[in-house]
Amino acid sequence: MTYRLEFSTLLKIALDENGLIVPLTISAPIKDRQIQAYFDSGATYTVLPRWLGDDLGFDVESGTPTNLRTGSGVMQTYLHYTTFFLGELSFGDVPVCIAKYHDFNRCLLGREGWLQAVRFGLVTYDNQMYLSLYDE
Amino acid sequence: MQTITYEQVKQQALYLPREAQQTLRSALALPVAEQQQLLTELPARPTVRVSRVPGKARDFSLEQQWLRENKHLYRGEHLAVSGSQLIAHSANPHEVLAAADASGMDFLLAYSPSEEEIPYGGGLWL
Repeated sequence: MTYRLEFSTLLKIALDENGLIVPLTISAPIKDRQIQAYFDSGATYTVLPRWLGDDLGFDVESGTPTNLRTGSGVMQTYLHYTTFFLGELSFGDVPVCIAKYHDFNRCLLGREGWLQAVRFGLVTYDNQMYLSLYDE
Repeated sequence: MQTITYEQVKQQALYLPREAQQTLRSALALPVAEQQQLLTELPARPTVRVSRVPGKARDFSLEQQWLRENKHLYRGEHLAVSGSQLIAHSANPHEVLAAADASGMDFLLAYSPSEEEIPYGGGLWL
């Protein structure tokens, strides 16, 4: 049996020893930033470093204190809502956690707010991620 | 306009994974006051809005290519890349942002984990 899916968006991704890297545009209170984020389907939330949260104009510590479990213990963050783009696809009011402390430097793209709203294809060999809105 | 009926929610609940159903059972068994608090908190979480914005997409192929080939040379540093050009790099992200913003160029921000950082094990859970 053969299954076929069609997609409307193609993202060029990258792969390093830490995982799959996706270009992500964060649209925040005072500016947009285009960042490389590690796609982590095991993570509930997207997580940003503290320095990036400050730079984007978030009043970081006004967010909802949210502890995240990680393999190495609990990580303290503040939960905010913002808009991000994957290619042309816009996801508004997505929950994003901003690290409380400055020693976390990576951007992680978690599941919440977008993954259930899309159809998703991945061809790591070609460095390509395919996306469509679920109801397109 | 309400587009999701109680029956639809109920049907979805019946087909949730076992762990999620257990969590739902626990929530329903909470004391009334805590249930009420949960209800009060729920509307505070906005609904995610999804759309397509034609023309918004920026092609990062060149930046991704450059980073694939060169990022390992800048371990422990933040990088700002525009096309195939490295605009700024430093262990201090604020320095990178300041230099990249001053360039007036459109750039992609990246971080190259240091060799001391053990490979990421994934799985960051709530």
